[in-house]
Amino acid sequence: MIRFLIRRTLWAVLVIFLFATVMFFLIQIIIPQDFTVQFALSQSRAQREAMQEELGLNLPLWQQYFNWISNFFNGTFGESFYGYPVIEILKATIPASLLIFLTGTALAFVIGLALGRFIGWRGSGPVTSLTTFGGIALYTTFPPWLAWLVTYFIGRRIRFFRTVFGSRSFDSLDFRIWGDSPLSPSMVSWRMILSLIFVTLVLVALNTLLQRIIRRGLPTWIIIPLIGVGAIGSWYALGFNIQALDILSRAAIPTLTYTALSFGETMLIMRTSMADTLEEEYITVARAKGLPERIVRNKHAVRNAILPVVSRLVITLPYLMTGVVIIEDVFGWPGVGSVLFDSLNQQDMPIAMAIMLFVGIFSLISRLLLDILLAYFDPRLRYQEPATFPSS
Amino acid sequence: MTDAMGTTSKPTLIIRFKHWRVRTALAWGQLKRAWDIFRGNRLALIGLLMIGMFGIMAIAHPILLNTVWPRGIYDPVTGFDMEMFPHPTSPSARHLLGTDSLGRDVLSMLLKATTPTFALGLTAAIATAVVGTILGVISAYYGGITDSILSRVSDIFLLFPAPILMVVIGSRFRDIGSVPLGLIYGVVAGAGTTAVVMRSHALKVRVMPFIEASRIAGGGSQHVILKHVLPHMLPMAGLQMMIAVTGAVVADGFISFMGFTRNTNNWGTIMYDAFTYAQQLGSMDEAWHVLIPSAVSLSLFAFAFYLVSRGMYDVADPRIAERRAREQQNGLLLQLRRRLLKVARPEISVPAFPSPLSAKSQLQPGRIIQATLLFAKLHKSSPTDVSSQDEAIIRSPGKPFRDAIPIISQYGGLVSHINISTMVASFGIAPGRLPPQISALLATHAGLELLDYVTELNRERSKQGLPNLNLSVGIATGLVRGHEKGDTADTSFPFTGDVVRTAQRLQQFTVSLNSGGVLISEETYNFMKTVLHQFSFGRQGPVKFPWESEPKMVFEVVERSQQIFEPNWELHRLPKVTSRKTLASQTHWTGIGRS
Repeated sequence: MIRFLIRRTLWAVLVIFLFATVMFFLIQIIIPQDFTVQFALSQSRAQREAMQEELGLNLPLWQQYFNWISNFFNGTFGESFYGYPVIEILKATIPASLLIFLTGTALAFVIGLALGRFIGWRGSGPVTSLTTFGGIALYTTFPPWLAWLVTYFIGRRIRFFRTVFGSRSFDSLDFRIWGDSPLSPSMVSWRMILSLIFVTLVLVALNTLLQRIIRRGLPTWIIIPLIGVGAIGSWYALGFNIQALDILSRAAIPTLTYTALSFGETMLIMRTSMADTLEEEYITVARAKGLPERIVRNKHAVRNAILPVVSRLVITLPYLMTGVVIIEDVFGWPGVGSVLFDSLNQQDMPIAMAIMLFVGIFSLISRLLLDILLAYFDPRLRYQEPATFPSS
Repeated sequence: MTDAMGTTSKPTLIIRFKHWRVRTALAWGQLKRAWDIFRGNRLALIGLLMIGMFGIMAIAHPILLNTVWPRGIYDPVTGFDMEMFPHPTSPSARHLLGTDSLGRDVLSMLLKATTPTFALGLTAAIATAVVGTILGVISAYYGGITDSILSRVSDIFLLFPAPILMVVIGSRFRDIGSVPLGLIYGVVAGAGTTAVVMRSHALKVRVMPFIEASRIAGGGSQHVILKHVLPHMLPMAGLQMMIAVTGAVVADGFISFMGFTRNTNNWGTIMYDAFTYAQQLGSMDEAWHVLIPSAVSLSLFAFAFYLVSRGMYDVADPRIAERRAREQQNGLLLQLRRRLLKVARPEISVPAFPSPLSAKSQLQPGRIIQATLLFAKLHKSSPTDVSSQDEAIIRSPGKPFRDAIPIISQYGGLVSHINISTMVASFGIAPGRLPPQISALLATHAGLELLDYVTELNRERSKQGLPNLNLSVGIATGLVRGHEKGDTADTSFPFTGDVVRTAQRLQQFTVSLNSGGVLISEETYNFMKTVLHQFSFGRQGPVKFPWESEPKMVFEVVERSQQIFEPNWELHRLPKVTSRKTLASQTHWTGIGRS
């Protein structure tokens, strides 16, 4: 197991380095960093050259690459063409993105698993067809259109939800709450994420303990509201509840849209995986042993059916990140997505490259974690090459 | 020399001709089979229908523009209707979907945008399939260092989300056409996700026996890949193509929607216009007829291709094909009948297994597999009166064994022989192969349930003043062989083996027990070692069979502590059944099964 961990981690570091290199040169081919192009018409030659020299764009390509990669390893990511340090921009926007991504992905995963389990167990029929139909329809809806629908039909009807359409920053936050608060929105977002993760871990640990002692855990539909209540309770306990709820009221609609967009795939894979599992002999054995159907489903079928779903999630992660980026841009949520598109509009490549690198690194780290998780659950995988998952 | 050439070239010509015919026929057959599986997926058919509608939309635009619509008013780029004011206008007879803020006909724009979307999707699909298949097949077939290099390349491309890369490109080259954009999406997605999926699929194909056979027959790598591996990759490639269309179309729409406007007329551009106009007005009330058609078209286009990909998935996964075939074998009428029965007679639960008499046996001639056999016989109650089997007494009323078929089928057995007083059933051969541990368990349970059935039958018979019947059951587990041509053994069963004789002999022993019962052989007992607590056993002892070298133990099974399935039989063929409820309250098995 330890050798497996070391091998995967070393490999991940190498891939990040290769990814950064490939991306740098690819971007150089697609968009040469001729920042001055758009001012060329109104500027003299000398002014243009001075500007290029100031930004370090007149250096040979290999030197630019070296500067960039050393900035990457410094952790500063250099400066944007407009003079902001890139790392500051990342620090301000990443928590907002992570808040939506982690909550939305977890919700989508749980909903997809539950629905997939339900229709996979049920087999073919009108209910299954309708659920599949609905899941695929949501999954393939054009994201901005779905965002508009959710805002129009849910966001406007319920008073708690507030949208940040168009503002692209936390400017729309309530000044009465944030005016004299020592906390910045990104700090509050970080604390919200950490408390959510902490509460989830505690509840999962408690549930495992419960299973050990009385051999029966809590059902999922109780655990999820418990996580919500626990998280909000911890915000009250730590004393940033007003700010956190203000952020939540704005994050809810984007998260909802993202969840609706992405649960379909999990559902479909779970359904197929469940149907495959039901054909296995150990299910017949479990039934022949005289076990109740509920136990056969939850203990024998679902546990084995989840593995392909998780391993499929490994390669879907970058696309899920893309979904978040698009949703953020549509709602003007001040995360990395909005900043990415703004910087593309302004041809501010250092920021755009840093964000794409962040998306890559983040999905790579998540992949690593999922791989380790899978290897823990499925010992057969430890001795094989990576990327062994069933096709779907 | 020329003579020899002539004689040799003639047969080769004929062979080539036949070769071509055979290949075409094979390909046609494969296509037909694939279509049959595809057709089984109703959602995929809906998707195909929707794609057809979009095709009609794409064709309709140039036709309409050249016949009905005057170009000055309906041109998707320069058209303007002078007679309407102010623009945008709501839908009317003149403009079925209204006009946009620049006075253009929305329907015309909508139709015009179909063709480039198809072009984009097609390019992306082909590029994905070509790149992904080449990388995946080469990496899986050659293995070793080629595999690790190519896999690493895919790993890196996996981190480039293709939609984001397309946005980057779109932001720079604002007038890039649909085809190059589709090409870029296809290459990036193909080298990433598709290559990984195709590789794992090719790994499965590579170990199939015909690949080995082709290599042994002297086929080079190129030949094997082109002629044997690639054809088996086609359904999976088709599936990936459909998914690529979905992704590319959404990404392309998003670039346009972002306002990185391109010269192409595009559903995303129309949405962008609608939102821009709504922003100016402050509400969507005046622009909804611009927004909804384009947004719905874009979503439905992606939706249709994704639905088709579900059907392709069925074709690509042979296990699903088998499942479908089995479902179809059950037949629509049978399914309907089951549905009706479920509603009308909820007390008869539908058997989980397909009907044994229609299921195809998996036992091939000459093949040997482990199975459990069950011999059952109905006879009159007196043990001394074995020889006189009065069929008339057993038969009246009804045909008891025919009514007991559901019991065998519920426990996954196949009735291979049945008449008035005897029934032979096999477990573990058909409808599905089962390991002997399970077939033994299922057969024993089925035997005990047959006993329950006869008990209830007797209860009803005694009410009508008929003599009681006894049931004797013999169960044995072991190897059976499918019948071959030339076998001289008893041909009333589709298989032969010592087990057949053992089971028959055990059933005959059972007759001499007081009132019938269930006897199982030593092998059956051993196979059930882990679940013995489910049963309680009566008498046991060694028996010397003529075909065995040593005496074997036999065990009498008396009753069971739990039931696997709810009983799904009833004595509906018996006349004068007073009422289901009173009958159930009288019988002993209801307490276990129907609590």
